[in-house]
Amino acid sequence: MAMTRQRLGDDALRISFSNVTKRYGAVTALDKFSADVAPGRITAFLGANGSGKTTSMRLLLGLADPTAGTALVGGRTYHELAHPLRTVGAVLDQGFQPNRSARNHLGIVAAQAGVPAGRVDDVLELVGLTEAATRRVGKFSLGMRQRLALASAVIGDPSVLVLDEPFNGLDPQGIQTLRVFLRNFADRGGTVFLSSHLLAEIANSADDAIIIDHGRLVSAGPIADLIPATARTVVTTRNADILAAALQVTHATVERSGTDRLTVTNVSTEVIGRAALDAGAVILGMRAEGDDLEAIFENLIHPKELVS
Amino acid sequence: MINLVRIEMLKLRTTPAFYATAVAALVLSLGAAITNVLITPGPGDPPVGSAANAQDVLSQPGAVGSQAIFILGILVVAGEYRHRTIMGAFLAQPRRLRVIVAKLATMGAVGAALSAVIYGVTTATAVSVYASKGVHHLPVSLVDLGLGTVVSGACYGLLGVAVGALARNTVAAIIGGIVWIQILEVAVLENAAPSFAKWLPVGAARGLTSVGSSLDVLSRPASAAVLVVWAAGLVLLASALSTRRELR
Repeated sequence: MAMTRQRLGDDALRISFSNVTKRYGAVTALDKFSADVAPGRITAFLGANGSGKTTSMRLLLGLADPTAGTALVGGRTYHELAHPLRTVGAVLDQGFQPNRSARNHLGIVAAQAGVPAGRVDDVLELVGLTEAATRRVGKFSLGMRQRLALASAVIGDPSVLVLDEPFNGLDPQGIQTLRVFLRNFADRGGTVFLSSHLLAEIANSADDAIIIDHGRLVSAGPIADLIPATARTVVTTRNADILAAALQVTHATVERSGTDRLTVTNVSTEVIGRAALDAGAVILGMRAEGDDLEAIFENLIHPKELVS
Repeated sequence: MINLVRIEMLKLRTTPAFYATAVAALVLSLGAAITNVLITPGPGDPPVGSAANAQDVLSQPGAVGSQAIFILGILVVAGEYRHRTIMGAFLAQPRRLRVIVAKLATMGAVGAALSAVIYGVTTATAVSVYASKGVHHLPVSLVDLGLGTVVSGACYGLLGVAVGALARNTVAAIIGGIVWIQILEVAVLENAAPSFAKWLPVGAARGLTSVGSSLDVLSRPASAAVLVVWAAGLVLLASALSTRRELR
């Protein structure tokens, strides 16, 4: 698998949305959405319900047509892929025939992907469903269905994974297993594009984040880069006016949140400390807040009005 | 395409509804045929062993089998929409028309094969039961009846796929199909407007499975042509809709 990905190269595994617009009647689900998903990294796709995440993924996978723009995998539309299931593994809300066993379901997907039936046992073991292989899928729990969906996605040994809410319904062990699997997949050069509401899990798993709101791109880039831009530092000081004035010359945004308290954004605690030192302001304490992904997400989607 | 048909066959083989429908059709066909031989004819009914009686008995596989195959055809498509497995099918083969064509080919073949099995078992059983009643020669062509039954079964498989693709809702498609066949065509139009009804799918199927009967039906080639035209028309409509519809 790794050799194949190296041979294909980066561009062959890159996902690109370019000015994608999707309208359903009067409703605009996506509005000139552009973003890139790089191979070798795990990219999280974040947004509130109805923000356009699933629509973007469906457009990418050819299940719907964009009103304008292009959604490409390796420079090609999904329809143009010679071996779709061997290129892209997807977990959307594909269903299962409830009376079919997990093994039979995967046997059909293996035939669709054009891979040997022996792959069925491999992926059953990979997702921990070997014991349940002959059970009817209708009797499966949500977590087991998620595992089966993941097994279906990877049975063709694809180089790109597109996963819509893959952590849903998984128990902690399942989440850990999936996290390790995705990391290994990306480390071997694969492209992982996943949406999730579990922001804490995304913070642990993903390298990059694409944030979308009302069909529009809000932010895209490494998760690490998002934190300094949005994290806040609450500073308790005996000289709030002096420190606020000193911080004005930096790029800081300062909000007066009490007689002896400032909320500072856009600069690190080191910059705040140096400004205080230079101005002779006495700092009683500093506390970072909002550096978790949930706060970042909230700030980006609903930016708080700050007062200098 | 061969691989797509293989996959559709695999889907059918791993679906209990396929076996349940096939067995139910066989049992119903056998039951109806045996009953028609064993029950003593009432006044005005054709005598046992007559052409009309043999026609009644040996057209059961076509009548029952075609409806069962029609329902299977619906399930092959609408069932995939119901369980959302159609998304997996279209992810594997983004050219959706090919998926629909594979389903048509599969149900055409399965319809023909299942009809042949039901007809063969029913006819063999009926011939034995006739023999037990002293009738050793039936004044109808078993081969012609069999061919008509097989062609009818294949066409009903195509019709089922088309109706399933059009409706997408399994229950609505099955109920709608049964209302169309049993009420609109059989109960209403065959009585009220037989010269029109023979141009409809059930009427055309009767033409295929009626050998030497006095029914007002089309010739067998014309019946086959009418059924194929019905299937093709619905299939074209269903294909156009299936390839354009977006999956949400």
